[in-house]
Amino acid sequence: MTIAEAQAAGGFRTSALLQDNRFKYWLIAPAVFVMLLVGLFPIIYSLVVSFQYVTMMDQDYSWYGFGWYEWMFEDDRFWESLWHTALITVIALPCELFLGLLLARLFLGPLRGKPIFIAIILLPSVICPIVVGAVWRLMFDTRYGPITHFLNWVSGADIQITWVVDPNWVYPVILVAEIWQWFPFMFLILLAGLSNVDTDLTDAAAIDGAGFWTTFWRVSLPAIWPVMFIAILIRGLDLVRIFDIVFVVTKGGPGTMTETTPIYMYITGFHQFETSYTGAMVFLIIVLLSIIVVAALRRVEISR
Amino acid sequence: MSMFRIAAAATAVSLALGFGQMANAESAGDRAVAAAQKYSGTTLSLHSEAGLQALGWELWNAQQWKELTGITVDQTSAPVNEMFVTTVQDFRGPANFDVLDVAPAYLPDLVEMGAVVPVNDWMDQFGYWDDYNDIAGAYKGWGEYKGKVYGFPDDGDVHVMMYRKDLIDEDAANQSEFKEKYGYKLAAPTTWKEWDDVAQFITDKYGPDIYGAAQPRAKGLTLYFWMDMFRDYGGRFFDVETMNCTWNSEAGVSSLSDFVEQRRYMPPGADAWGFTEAAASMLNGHVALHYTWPGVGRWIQNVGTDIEAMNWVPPSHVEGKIGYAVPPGGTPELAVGWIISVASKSDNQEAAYLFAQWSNSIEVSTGKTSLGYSIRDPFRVSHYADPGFRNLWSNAGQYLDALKTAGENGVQDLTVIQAQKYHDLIDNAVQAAIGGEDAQSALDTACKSADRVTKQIGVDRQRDVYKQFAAQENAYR
Repeated sequence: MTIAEAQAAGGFRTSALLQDNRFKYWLIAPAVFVMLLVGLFPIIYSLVVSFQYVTMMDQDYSWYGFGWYEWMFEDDRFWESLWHTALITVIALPCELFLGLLLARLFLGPLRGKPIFIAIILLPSVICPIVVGAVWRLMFDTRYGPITHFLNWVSGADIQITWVVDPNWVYPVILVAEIWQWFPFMFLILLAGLSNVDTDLTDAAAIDGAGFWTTFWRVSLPAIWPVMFIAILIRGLDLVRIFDIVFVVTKGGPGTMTETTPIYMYITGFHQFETSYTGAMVFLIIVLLSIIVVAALRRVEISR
Repeated sequence: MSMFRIAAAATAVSLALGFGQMANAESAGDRAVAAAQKYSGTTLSLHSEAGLQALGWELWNAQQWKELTGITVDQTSAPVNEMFVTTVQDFRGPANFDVLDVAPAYLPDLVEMGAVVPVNDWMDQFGYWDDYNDIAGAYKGWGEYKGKVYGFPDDGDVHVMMYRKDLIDEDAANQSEFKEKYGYKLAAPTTWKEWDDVAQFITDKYGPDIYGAAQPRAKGLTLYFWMDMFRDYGGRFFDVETMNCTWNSEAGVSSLSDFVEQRRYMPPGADAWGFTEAAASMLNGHVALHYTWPGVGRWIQNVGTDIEAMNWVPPSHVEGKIGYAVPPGGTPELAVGWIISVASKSDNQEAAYLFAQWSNSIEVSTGKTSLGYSIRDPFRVSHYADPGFRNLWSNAGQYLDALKTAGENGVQDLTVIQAQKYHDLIDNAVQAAIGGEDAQSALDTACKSADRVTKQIGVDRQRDVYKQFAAQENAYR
């Protein structure tokens, strides 16, 4: 029976409700409401509370103006934490991208036991970041850490670096842990992207005399760019929120040398109960990130 | 430590407890039990530090209390640096807690926000003043604020020094070599200069098998070790008139510089060591000098470490080789510590108070502070003199004498409004200096932030509280 026959037979009745174009919006309204409640309410609450005076000692919900924003602009520790976060992001992100891309390219061709190798490579990304931090802290232990032992063995010298305290080494240790955990994520996304590049295009490029690099830069990379951009965006946002690994490896130390913005906000919000001030910081970060993300999405025309 | 010795000690303590109760039916503990029986069937919620502190409450107190009064004690716990946070969260939120372990440095905050109640009236009603007055001098002020008692000091946290007496007191070759090199007798150091000399001597002679010294230097702990040195060097936290921060004074800079320099005779990597790593180095025999919280002094004699919950403590390889003394300077830090308080939003305040009185009473606290696992440390004059405790191992008397002196002369953590902020700044400054920043620069940065904090709280408001702190005998010596 065709649809026309069914309609003629009265089998399908198109109700007025279904003809109403607005009905689809009613269907998704509960989900949208929940998402707004969960996603938007904390942001609005942070904004509201940032204009009040809610601290450990005082619970004043009246209008306090821009006092906390002024406080923030004079707070060196906040700006330093922002700098530390940016530093980790601008180093870790390209490294993760490069290593992920390199490995994805290596895994593109046929390889015996490929699924097993992929599973092994992905292991770090499924471990809890707190555990990753603890593992790397032990790896870099001055006395018992295998890295120190390995360096001593290679160099023949008695290397005694306190990796998680020495200002020359704290960032490298954090970056090693961070990159080790998350480059597999880049690898997985980019492998999926590269695997879906139309081989007709790459074959055509080869027939036209394009070499490996030309094909990669002119054909493969543009083809996977939307996927790669989303991977960069996800990891970039993750890095701006970096907390666990740094907290376990250095607790933001020595002093506040590796204190990231999330760690500082955690201290002010949950240890010092500066609720309004933390709200102001949170809101500023949200605004900054929103501007960056929207601008980036427009730049690559993905938001369409 | 053999099971026999523990059993003997436990029996002695239990007998003392039992006879004490029979001989003095009107002890403070008995009065609390008698009064609490009318609350039989209720449940009290106790919030304490996680780990061994919680274990002590559970195994030593909660079970006995249930048998004596029919009152159940439910426990919640948090890591030490989350205790204040969780207490405030409970006060601002669901208010489930009845009995609180409170770090004394944060008492002003909790009183000012109304989270704890004064207990003076109950102390009168249930006759607790005699037991209260038995608490060692340095600790007594811990629970007092603006003339009222808000909690009972319940854990004699103070730094105590442990040293290898076999290398320092008893080795004739070391004695003569040291005398020849430094011009004075080798002994447990009493000044920071002597500490440096002895530690350097040991490292030079025995390193890398045995190093001179180690103590916890990880973030979150160093402040307690520097605040002690700072005051030994004559430092003051604030100018009492202006309330400007004075950590960056000459005393501050020189004490911090010297503190950082101690690494020259410490084991490699010791700058990153927390409480456990530092204690383990002493237990393993890799360090000759160590000062830390008193619990390690019991573990180092293998006292109370042979229960399952203590499996993580390495067995001591230096049992019988350790001497005890007050750390250099003679005014050790009363670091952290706990007072037991009653939550203001408790629905069972009187029952909560009675539990506090009973658990803090002389007879009950004596048993608890002698346990290896509870890490509740002696804090009463009677604890130091308790015959059972003094015979717990061969030189337990020396240990208790050191704690007694420390309990008389110790200095309290900086205790003002929002002390946590100042502690955080101090710790960051010390850590920055350990990380290589110039001591003056690190302290200048910290002081700049501290002045902002004081301004935010209100200079006059903070001055009132600081004056009270500074006037106490255990603020400065």
